[in-house]
Amino acid sequence: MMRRTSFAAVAVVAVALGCSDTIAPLPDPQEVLLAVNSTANTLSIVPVDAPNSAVQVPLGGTTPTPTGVSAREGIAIVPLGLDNAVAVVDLRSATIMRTVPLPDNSGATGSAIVDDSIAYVGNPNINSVSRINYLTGATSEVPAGVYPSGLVFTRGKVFVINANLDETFSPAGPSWLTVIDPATNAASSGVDSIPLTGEGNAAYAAVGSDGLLYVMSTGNYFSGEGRLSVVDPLARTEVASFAGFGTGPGNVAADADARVFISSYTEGVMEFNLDSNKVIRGAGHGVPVPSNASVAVDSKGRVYGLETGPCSGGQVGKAHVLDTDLAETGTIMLDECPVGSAVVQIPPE
Amino acid sequence: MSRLLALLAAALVLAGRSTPAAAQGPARVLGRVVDEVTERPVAGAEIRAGELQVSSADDGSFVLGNVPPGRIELRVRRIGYAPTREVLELLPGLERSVRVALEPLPVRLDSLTATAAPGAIAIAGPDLERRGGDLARALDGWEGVVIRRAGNGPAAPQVRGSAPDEVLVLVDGFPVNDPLTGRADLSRISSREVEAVTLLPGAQTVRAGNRAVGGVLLVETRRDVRPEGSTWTGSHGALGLRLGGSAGPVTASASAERQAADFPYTVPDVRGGGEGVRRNAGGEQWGAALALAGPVEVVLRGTLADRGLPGTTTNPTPNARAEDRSVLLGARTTGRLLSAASVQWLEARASDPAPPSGAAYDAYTHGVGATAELGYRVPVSLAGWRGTAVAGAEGRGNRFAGDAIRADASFSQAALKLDARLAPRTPAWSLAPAARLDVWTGSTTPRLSARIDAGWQRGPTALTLAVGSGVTPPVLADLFFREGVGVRLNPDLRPERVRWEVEAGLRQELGGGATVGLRGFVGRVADMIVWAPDFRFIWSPRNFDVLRRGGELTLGWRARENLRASGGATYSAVTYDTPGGAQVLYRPRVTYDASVIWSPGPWTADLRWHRIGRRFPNSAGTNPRPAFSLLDVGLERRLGAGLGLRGEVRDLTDRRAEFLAAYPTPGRSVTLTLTLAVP
Repeated sequence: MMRRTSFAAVAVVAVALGCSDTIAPLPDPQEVLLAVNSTANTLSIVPVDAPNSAVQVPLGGTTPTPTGVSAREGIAIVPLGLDNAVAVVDLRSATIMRTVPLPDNSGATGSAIVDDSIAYVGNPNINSVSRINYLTGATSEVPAGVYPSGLVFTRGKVFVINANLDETFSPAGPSWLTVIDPATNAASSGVDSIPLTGEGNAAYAAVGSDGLLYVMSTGNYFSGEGRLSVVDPLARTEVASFAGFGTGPGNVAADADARVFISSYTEGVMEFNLDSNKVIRGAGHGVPVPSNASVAVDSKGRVYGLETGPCSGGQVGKAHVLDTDLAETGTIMLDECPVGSAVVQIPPE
Repeated sequence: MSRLLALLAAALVLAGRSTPAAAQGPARVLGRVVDEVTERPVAGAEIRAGELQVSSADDGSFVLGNVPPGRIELRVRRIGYAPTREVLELLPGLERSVRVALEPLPVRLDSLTATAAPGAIAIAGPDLERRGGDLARALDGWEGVVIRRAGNGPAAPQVRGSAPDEVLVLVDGFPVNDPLTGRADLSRISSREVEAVTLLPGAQTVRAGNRAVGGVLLVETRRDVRPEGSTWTGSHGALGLRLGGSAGPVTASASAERQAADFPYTVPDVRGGGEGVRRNAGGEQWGAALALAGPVEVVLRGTLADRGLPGTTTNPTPNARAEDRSVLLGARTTGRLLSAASVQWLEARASDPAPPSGAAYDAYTHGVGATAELGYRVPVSLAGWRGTAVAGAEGRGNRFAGDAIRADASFSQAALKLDARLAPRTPAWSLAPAARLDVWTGSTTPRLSARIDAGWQRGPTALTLAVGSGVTPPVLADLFFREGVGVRLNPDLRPERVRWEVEAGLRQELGGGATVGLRGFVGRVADMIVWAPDFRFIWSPRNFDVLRRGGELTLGWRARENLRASGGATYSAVTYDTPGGAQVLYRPRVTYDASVIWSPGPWTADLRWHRIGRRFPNSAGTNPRPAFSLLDVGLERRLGAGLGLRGEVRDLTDRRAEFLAAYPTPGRSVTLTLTLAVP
C-alpha cells in the first residue's frame, strides 16, 4: 500500500513539473585509464578522451608498494604490497573510500573484482588470497598455491595465478592456477588447479575476446624466456603455450578484436593474435616504449603502454598512446613510476 | 652479565683512584686568553681545571686559586674558537702563569646554545642529559639535527637535509662514523659522558674530511671528573648503570643499559586502527671509554650491543637479532707538529632463523678502518694579514669482509690539505681559507675542493660569510654490498660533490641575556647518493643532483640567573634538481625546538618541546608522513652529599611518533635516575 502511494505521489509531482512521458537516455559512461604509480604511491585517473584532466589520488598507507590495479565501474582496488592492505578507490570522487587491512606479511599483490561488493586479493608471502567486502571492509582468507600474485575473475570463478617463487624470490618451477569459487569462498569443485607451461613466475593474465585466459609466465627476469599460456576457463586446462616474448615480459591486456598485448621492459609492447594464434610482434619487434611495465586497451582499441621512467629522483613516467595500428599518437604524463594499469568505464550516477 | 660486571669493576678501579697531589697545599694559576691569530685578548672564555671554573676578564686575564697541586688539565672554551686543553704541573703553594691561545673556528658557532653564565660558551653536559640519556635522544630536534633510526637500529643524525651518512661525528677529535656504512650511531654515546657538543653545519669536508657533506658534530667528552655513578630505571623495562671518573690524566667510564623491550604502539588506520604491541624491540648495550691526557692524547672506546630487529610494524620480524661490537683507538699530539691516528674495528652479525617471508639468514661482517693525519703549523703573513697555516696530509684505509659485502672489500684514500687563519691589523675581521686534494681507490683524477670563511665581529654583533665546495666518496656499503634478490651494485656510482655552497650568518647579543642567531645557506650538491629502485624495481645506490637551501634561527634568553630559555627553527629545502623537484625522501623541511630550564634552589625543572615537520617517504613528494611534536618534562633535586635524583617524562602527550613510516617509538616513558658523585 505504501509503495502504491509513493508511486502515485511521484506521478503527481512529475506531472506538476511538466516532465515528459519519455525517459531521457543516460549519458555515456566515462572511460578512464587507471595507472598505479608505485614510487609516488598514487593512482592516476585519466579520462581517455580528456587526458589533460587527469587526477592523481594518493593511496596513503604506511609502507606501500603498489604495483597493480583492478577496477569495476566506479571502484578500483589497489593492493598496497608491503603495506599488507588494499586501497579501495572511489573513481567518481577520486578519493580513497577505505583501506582494508590484510594479514601481517601478506605482501598484498594482484586483485580481481567479483561483483559490486566482493574482491579477491593475493597474499603472496603467506600463500593465500583474501576475500574482501570492499564496502564493509570484512575479510576472510582462502589458501592458494605458492606465491599467488595475480588474479582474474571470469566465468564465475576466480583464477589465482601462483608465481611459484622460492625463498629467494626466484622461480622454483612452473606456475599454476588455483580456481576458487567465490560462491563458496573455497577451492572450486572439479578441477581446482591448472598447470602452466614455462619457467614459472606468472603474475599477469587477461581474458581475451575469445573468452580464453591468457597468462604470462615471466620466468627469470634476467635470463629466462617468457611464455604465454592459453587457458580454457571452462575446461580448466591449458590449451596452448607460446614462446617468442624474450626475457622479462610482464603485463597482459586484451582488446575486443582478437588481440592480446604484452608489455616488456626490454621489448616494449608486443602483440599476440587470437585468431591466428601467432605472435605478431614478439621479441625484437615490439613497439618501442622505454621501460615498459604495463599495457592497457580502451574500448576504441587504443593501446596504452606505460613508461616507468627512472622511478626515482622525482621524474614522472608516462603512457604512450598507440592507435589500432600501434602507431604512437601521443603521450600522457602520469606520476612517478607507473607500473600497473587498467581501463574501466564509469557509468553515470 | 659477567662481561658487564668486569667492565664496571674496571671502571670502578680507575674511577676510585685518588689523586695523590690532592692532599697537598693549593697552587694558583694566573693566565691570559688571547686569539691565536690576532693576539687580541679574548673575554668571556670559560677556563676549567677539574671542578674549578672561571671566566676571562675583558683583558683576557683569569685567576684560578686553590688549585690542587700536581698535574692538572686546563680546559678553555669560547664561542667562535676551538676548545683547547693544556696540561700544567703545579707546585704546592706556588703561582703558575700561562698564556692560552684560542684558535678561531672558521664558522662562528652561533648554533651553540648558551647555557651557563653570560659569556659562557656551549651546550653543557647537564643540558644534554636533560634532553636525553644518549646523544641520539639529546640531539634530536636540536638546531635542525634530526635522528633517523629504523626500529632498534643505529641512530644517525641528519643535518640540513643530509643523509645519515653525510654527517661526520668526531668524539674528542676522532671520527666514530662506521667505516662500512658511514653512519655514526649516536645512541652509543651517553650524554652523561659528554662535556659539550658543537655543530658545524654545511659542507665541511675540506677541513673535516669524509662524510662531512651535511655538517660536523664535535663531541667533547668530560675530563677531570670526580668518581661518580648513576643508575636509572624506566618504563618498558629500561634499566641502566654508568660509572666514571678521573684519576690524574686518566678518565674512564663504563656503562650498561637495557633498552625498552616490548611496548604498545598505535596501529595506523590502514592496518585497522587500535593498539598493538611492538615486539622484539629491546636490547642490551655495553660501553666503555678510556682517555689519557698529556702530550700524547689517547682515546679508547668500545661498545657491544645485542638487540632485536623488530622490522616494520606491517611486516614484523619477531626472531631477527643483531649483535654489534666496535673498538676505537685514537692518539693525537698537538703543537707545531700535529699528528693524529685512529683505528676502528667492527664486527656485526644479523640473523633471523625464521623470517616471515624469504630465506633464513645469518650474516657476519667484520673489518677495520684506520685514519692517519700529519700536519705542520707555520706562521704566515700576507699583504698585512697575519696568522697561521697548517699544511698536512691525511690517509685512511678500510678493509671489510663477510656476508653482507663482497669478499675483501677495501678502500683507501689520501689527501693533501692546506688550512689557514688570517686577520688584518684591525682584528674585527678574520679570514680562513682552506683547500684539499683527494684521491682514493678507483678515482681517475684527484678531486680539489676549497672553502673560505670570513668573519667580522664588533661588540655584540658577529657576521659570517662562507663559500666553498666539498667532496666525499661513496661509503663501502654502497660500493661493495653483496648483490641479492632485488639489489644490484651500481658500477657507475660517483662520489658526492658539493659543487658550491654559500652561507651567511648573523649573531647578535641583544642585552638582557638575550641572543639571536640567524643563518642562511644555498648550495648545489651533485651526485647525492640515494638508494632507489630502477624501472625493474631493482634497488641500488644511485646519484642524484640536489639543490639545498634554507636557514636557521636561534634564540636564547637568560631571564634570571636560574631561569633561561632557548629555541630555534630551521628550514631545509633539499630538492631534486629537476623542474618542480620534490623534497628528497625523509628530509623534514622544518624543525622547531624550544626549552625552558628553571633552577630554584636545589630543584631544577625543565621542559622541552620539539617538532619535526612532515617527511616524504618517496621521491615523488606524495603521501607525506605527518609532522609530529614531542613534549618532555623533567624534575631533579640535589639531595646533598653528592646525591642527585631526577625524574623525567618523555613524550608526555604520548604521540608515539614515527620518523620513518612503520617504525614507531615507545611513546610516553618515565625514567628515574639516581646519581652519586664522590664529593
